[in-house]
Amino acid sequence: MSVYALGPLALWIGLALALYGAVVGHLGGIRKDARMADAAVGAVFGVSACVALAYTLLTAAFVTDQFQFSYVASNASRAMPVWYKAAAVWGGMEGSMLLWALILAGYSTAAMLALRHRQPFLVPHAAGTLLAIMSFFLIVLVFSSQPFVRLGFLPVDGQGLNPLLQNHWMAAHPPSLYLGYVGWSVPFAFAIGALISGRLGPEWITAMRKWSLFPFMFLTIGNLMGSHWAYIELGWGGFWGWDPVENSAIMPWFVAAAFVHSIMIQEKKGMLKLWNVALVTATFALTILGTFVTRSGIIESVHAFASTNIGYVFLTFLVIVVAITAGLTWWRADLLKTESHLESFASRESAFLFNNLLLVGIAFAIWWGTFFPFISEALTGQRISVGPPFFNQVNGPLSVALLVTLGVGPVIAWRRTSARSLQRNFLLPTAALVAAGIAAVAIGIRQWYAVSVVAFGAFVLATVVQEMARGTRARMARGENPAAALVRLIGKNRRRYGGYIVHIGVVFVFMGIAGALFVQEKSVRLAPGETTTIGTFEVLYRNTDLEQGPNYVASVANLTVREGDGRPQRIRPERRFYPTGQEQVTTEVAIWSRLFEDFYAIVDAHHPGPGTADLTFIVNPMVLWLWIGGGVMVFGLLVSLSTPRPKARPAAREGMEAERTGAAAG
Amino acid sequence: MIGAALALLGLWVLLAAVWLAVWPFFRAERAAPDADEVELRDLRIEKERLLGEIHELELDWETGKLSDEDYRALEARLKGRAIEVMREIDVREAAALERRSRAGRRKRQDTKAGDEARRVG
Repeated sequence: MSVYALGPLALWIGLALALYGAVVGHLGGIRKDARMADAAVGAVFGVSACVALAYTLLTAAFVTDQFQFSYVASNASRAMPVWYKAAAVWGGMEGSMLLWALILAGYSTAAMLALRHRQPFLVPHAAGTLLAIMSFFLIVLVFSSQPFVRLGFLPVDGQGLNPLLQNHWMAAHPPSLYLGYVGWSVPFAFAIGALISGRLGPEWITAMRKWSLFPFMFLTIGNLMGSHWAYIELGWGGFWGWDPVENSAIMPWFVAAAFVHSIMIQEKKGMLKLWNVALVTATFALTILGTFVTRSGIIESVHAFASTNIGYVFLTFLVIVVAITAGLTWWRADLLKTESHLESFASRESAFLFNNLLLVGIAFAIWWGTFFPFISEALTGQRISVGPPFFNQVNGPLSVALLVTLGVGPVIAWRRTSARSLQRNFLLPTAALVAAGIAAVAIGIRQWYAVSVVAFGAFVLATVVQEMARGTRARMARGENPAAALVRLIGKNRRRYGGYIVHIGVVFVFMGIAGALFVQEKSVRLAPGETTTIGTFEVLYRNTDLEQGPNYVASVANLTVREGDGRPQRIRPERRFYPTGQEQVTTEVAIWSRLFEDFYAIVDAHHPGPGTADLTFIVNPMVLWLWIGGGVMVFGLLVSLSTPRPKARPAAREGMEAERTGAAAG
Repeated sequence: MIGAALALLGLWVLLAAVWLAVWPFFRAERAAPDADEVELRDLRIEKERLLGEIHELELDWETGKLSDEDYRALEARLKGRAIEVMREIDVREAAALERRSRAGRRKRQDTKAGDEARRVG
């Protein structure tokens, strides 16, 4: 028996165990039957082992060129480097579904190991829900997107992975985004557990705080990696095109951001219980919706998989998820009532509420724009698409308002803030806002969005700096030196200051986005030795080299770029031809990345006879701040994630002591 | 040869997976989670949470976000709630202690009775 025969067998057994565990988990939870609950947890581990085995076998098939499998032959070739062969596993539909299942298995196992003793009433239902989600993916893998289908003959070579995907950022982007997408299954499963068990107090919210921050961090990383890939690989000079698949990836980010803020209000005030259930369900549903958009072909996208019927399977699953959650929410409506009300409009709760509305509003605007072609076709028979201007016009003002809440939130207290302290706390940030706005206009910035980002960005940064300075000063009053005071201030309030660091990162990201308003672009045909200028840059085209890569041939333009009297910089944009399988041509741009602007060069064509080259040059201001901001956001999230969880310090020793004493007394 | 060994290993993994899901039904009954215990643990978490909130409130006051008057009022309210929770914890811990002592005595009496019965038998 070939070891690969175990692949489909593992998926079948995994499916049987997942269905069994889904039933046993919920039954065990309802009947409070410990054996059934343990069996569901055991089923999570068992299914995870099956999925891990299937994934290992598929990876082995890719790495060892097992072209008898249709999926391997379609997505790999002998000439591909081993790293890309391993990454090609998720380059197509079947493997990406298996990767999804693997990550879900990982999350489910980790959640069970961490929480099965701490949340005995929620875990059986959560296990049942996670296994129900897993059943769906395994049904897809067993009946629709089977990764182990044999061809019936052995091809000499495979077709190779789409060259656009042969990029290390693209190799890392899907796992990161999936870690973000799939991770929301855990908070969703515990929300379902809380709804079924009726334990809708702070316990599930407290337990899920880190389990939501972690996938939120990966949604951030995944979206940034996708933007970076688009920037360096698609060769159009931008990092975000409001493409439906890009939109599908960013929508859950906004709703998830709303959730990680609003859970704090439930923890502290017992408010927004229903809202939090709705947000966690919406985030999970949007991750499924994103998968539907990518795989259904209903909306055209440069990132979409080939059009298949599998999208409608996802849509059915989505409808079931929403219907069940809505039914359970209606059933538990009494337990979802708020325990308290806003004490003052000038409170952090109200700032968070406003920020929640903005985040959800932005997500809704993106959803509307993305699905408008689909909706208009369904209603009128005409497919009307909305382009980037719609998204920019709607989201521009909303995102500036969001920046305002990022600044306001940190300087007001929970519950209520007095008018005097509002005055005192807003003085410096408002001064920074006005000064930055005037400075922006003075240096010639006229676009309202860019001026707003500079002004309100300064406002946010000023609030964070002020907060950290005051906190540090308060600790210094206890005799600590400034450095120790700052470190201890953050160390003892990691959740709060981690959040503030994320806000700094968001400001940097906004600066990167605003820079896109000042892009300069020039397309020219140059002969060897000719120069051209763009902005403050002068470019010399020297010649074009033909180079052989591992699985491609490249025309590489040798360019020298100089800004003013600065040091010349050599850059080499490429145009690659991949002869295997898909015979595709790709552009490999060259970027001279600097703190305040990127010089971006693209080879559009090379004419071997005269030796001329058609080249496009783009000056992209502030792009580096997008990636720096992303890094700062991830750092802030890590600081926040490192918060020790509140411990239930049990009087275990006294209990044991009593048992012993009781026994002795008897 | 290596292929067969790997296939056998894979089969073992699948068998272990099935066993993990069914073994609880082949072992002795385990008591269902004790609601009192879980509630006691939740109260302890609530206590830690309230202490954290008092700490945050203090930080808000130290960084000038709260007037002295607001700070004192809110602190008194949070401390009052924390004291209530701690009292509830004490009551429940005492009850749990009593339950355990009783269970221990019963166990000892059962053991004694069993030994007696065996001796008589």
